[in-house]
Amino acid sequence: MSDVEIQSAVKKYGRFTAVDSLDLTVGGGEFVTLLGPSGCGKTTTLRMVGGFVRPTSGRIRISDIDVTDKPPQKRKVGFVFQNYALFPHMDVARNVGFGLRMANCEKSLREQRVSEALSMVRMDHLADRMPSQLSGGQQQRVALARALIVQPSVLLLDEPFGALDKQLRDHMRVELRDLQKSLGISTLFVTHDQDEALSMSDRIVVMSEGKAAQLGSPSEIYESPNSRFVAEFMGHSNIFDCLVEDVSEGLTRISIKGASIFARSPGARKGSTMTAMIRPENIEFAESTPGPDSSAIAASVAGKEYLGSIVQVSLELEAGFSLVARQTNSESATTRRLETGQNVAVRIPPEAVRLL
Amino acid sequence: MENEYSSRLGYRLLLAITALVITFLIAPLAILVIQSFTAESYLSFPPPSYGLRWYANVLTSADWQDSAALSLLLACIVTPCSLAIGTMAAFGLNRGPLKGRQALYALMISPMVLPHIVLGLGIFRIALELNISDSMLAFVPAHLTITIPFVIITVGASLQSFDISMEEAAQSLGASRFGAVWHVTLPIIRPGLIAGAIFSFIISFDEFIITFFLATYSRTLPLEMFSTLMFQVKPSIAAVSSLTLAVTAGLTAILMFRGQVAGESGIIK
Amino acid sequence: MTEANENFRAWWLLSPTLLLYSLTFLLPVCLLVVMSFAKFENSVTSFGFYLDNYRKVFGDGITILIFWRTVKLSIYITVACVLLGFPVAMVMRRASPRGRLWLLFFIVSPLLTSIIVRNVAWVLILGRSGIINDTLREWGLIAAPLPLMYNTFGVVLAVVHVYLSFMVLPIYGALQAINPSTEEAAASLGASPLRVFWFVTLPQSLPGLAAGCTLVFILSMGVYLTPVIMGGNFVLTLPMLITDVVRNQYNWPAASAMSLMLLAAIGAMVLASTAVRRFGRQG
Ligand SMILES: Nc1ncnc2c1ncn2[C@@H]1O[C@H](COP(=O)(O)OP(=O)(O)O)[C@@H](O)[C@H]1O
Ligand SMILES: [Mg+2]
Repeated sequence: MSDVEIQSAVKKYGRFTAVDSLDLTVGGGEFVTLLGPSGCGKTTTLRMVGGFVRPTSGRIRISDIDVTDKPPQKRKVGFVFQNYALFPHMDVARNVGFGLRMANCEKSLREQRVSEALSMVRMDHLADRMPSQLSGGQQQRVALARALIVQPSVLLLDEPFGALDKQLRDHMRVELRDLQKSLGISTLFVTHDQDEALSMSDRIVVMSEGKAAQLGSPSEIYESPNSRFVAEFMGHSNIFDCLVEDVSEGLTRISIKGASIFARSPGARKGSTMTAMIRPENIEFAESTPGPDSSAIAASVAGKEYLGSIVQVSLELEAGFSLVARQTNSESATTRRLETGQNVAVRIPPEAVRLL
Repeated sequence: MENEYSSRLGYRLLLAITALVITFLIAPLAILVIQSFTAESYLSFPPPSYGLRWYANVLTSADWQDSAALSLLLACIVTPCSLAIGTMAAFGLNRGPLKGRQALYALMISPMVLPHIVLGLGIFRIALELNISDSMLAFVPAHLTITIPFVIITVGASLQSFDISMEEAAQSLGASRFGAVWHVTLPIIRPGLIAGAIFSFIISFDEFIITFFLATYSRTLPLEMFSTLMFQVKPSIAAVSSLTLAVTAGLTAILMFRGQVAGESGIIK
Repeated sequence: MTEANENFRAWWLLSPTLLLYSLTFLLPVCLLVVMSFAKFENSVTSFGFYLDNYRKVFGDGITILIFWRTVKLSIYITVACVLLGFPVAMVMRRASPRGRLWLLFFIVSPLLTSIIVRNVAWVLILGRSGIINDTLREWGLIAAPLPLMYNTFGVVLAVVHVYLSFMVLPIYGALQAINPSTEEAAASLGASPLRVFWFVTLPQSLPGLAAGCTLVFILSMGVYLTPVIMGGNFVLTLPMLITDVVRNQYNWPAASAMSLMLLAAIGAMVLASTAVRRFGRQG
């Protein structure tokens, strides 16, 4: 059973297509994230589900009922807005109780459920504050409680952590995820932050120009991006055009600007042009200069960046392209000892190379 | 409600009321202008025949000429004074680290909410004591009192959205404090200044009740129109009204095309 | 730049305005207060602390009647402005940028059009031989002209025409400031469009509504020209009475007392509006 079904939804603004035949099903209490750069149509998609934007074509189903033609108030969705959209003229309790009031819920029951919802987000002590007297994180919690109190069939969140500082954001991530799991409510979450998407989601939809570029679990999306766009958006640095030179016994030989590298990646056709992605953390450092028969490649250190728990080195390869390597910052890490301008030999194991 | 599912019927009703209101606001003025072109010696709508007879009549009449000249002269003295004094005050309110700035602001714009009849009465009394009641010496300060609040509001709104770091940048580049204001701030807040000037001109040009108290023999255009209107409704009054309308509409158009509609000029607040 | 220095500069900038106001605004108002306690006998004003004027104003039965008529008239005008102005402000908020500019033009331009010109326009339409009466007579629908002017109706109509902008603009300003997401949030929590308006939009626009009502009420209480032109002597208001008492009877003390009565009513309105705004903030 699905809680939300988006069936080839299209939204056009004049001749501009904001969302282009998107399909997505969310159900069974899972946490699905729409991830993509700003302007790719995430908000528009979410607002189509919420009922604030009418799809140009396609259908929206909620709890297996077609709601495409229904206004928001008939949809039973919990919507958390980017800026929270708390009612500034109502205190916290009245904000949270609003949905029940609209459902003509009896007053005593309403009060009881409001206090339950508030204690769920640990806000019960601030029930009679006005929204303007709350911190960002507190407003966030109130918005969440307000959306959840009507027991919606799906929770929709549009970049809910955008306005919070980093520490609070990390904290709220965990808090939201725990709450969502304990309630078992299917959730559609919008963000442009890869880390946020990777750490919270059961599944991720990477969007690009209104289309779903890739759909999969966080590890699939991160480790096996299906396109250069997804790879770049997920923050991978070593992405190159390459020529497939030879395919044999599970090992593929490719050439990047003339440098031959082996990849253990199935499905390549000899002679075709592909995109190669090299994972920075799998690059190894060999003896200082490569011998003539070794698989190592000569390079020089172009720069070194100290990032606390990891050390990142940019390498200039003799073949004429640059590569980023990354190592965890341990006592034995080679990168710690490297100096800018120094010549090194690097080895790129076949497992580190993925062909897209 | 701005979503795409909101009630069409409700919105249609609102649109209908709006259309009605716009008609209510505009139609009388349109009718007035049309009637002013009558070639008859009486007013009727639509006029049986058209001509410029009444414009010729008005433009050659000494009474109308004198009163229009007085009103224009008055507005032309009041506008620059109002702009200068009001802008100074707006800067003072915006920049000074004053305690009780809010209260001071309220005081500075309070002549706006004080009924002009009361203001006029008080000013008349003072002018009588000083024996200047029927002169520019009384008219100009009286008009300034009701125009300056508008300058303070429009220029103040511009100053509020003005990023002071630009002035600081100018100073760090060697401009004097006044030079920074003159070369950077004033050009940037120009829309607010224009709005303030136009409001000042129109309000002074249209002012009735205070001048009505003060004037014994002098006649500004509104006073002349009033006494004509009280005496008889003739086509000449329609022609004068249309001419006045043309002046104010022209200034209003400048205000609009400068992008200085009410929102930005601060009149909404 | 020291703080004292800044302070001095600010006061220096404010000084021309303060000087002007003290002569044309503060001093005159004080003078009115003093005069309202003076005595006026046989066309001679003697200063002192007498309550004769107030006794007369509240006791002669006529002044208080005219005062209440002025208040009633102002309330009619304010209510009419709300009923006409609120829908316009709502449409302005939803209109496309271009449409909004046009609407704003139509709303703002009357603000900048001569009041007396607009009154003339209404005289030409509503007068005894105005367009409406002429047309109806021509069609044989009426024998005698309808009383469209020289009554409360005519005055209210013409004053609304003059002051409607002062209602629309603050309401529009308040509506603009409302975060549309709050309305969407209400809708997604099950509120119908009417209830969204009632529970979310209207309360949030109260500050603008209160400001508009205050402004229009105050202006209506003090308006002189339009009632004279549209009402003649048939709708006598307090400002008309004040003018008459000064210009024809030279009774400054009585006029001063009436002016203070007017100011008191306006003060009450400002207080009420402040209370509403505070209520709007607290919910
Ligand atoms: N009401 C609208 N009218 C015109 N274009 C719009 C409208 N809403 C969104 N768009 C356009 O659609 C695209 C997608 O917008 P949005 O869904 O908000 O992106 P995201 O949330 O992914 O940043 C953007 O290019 C935006 O400019
Ligand atoms: Mg967005």
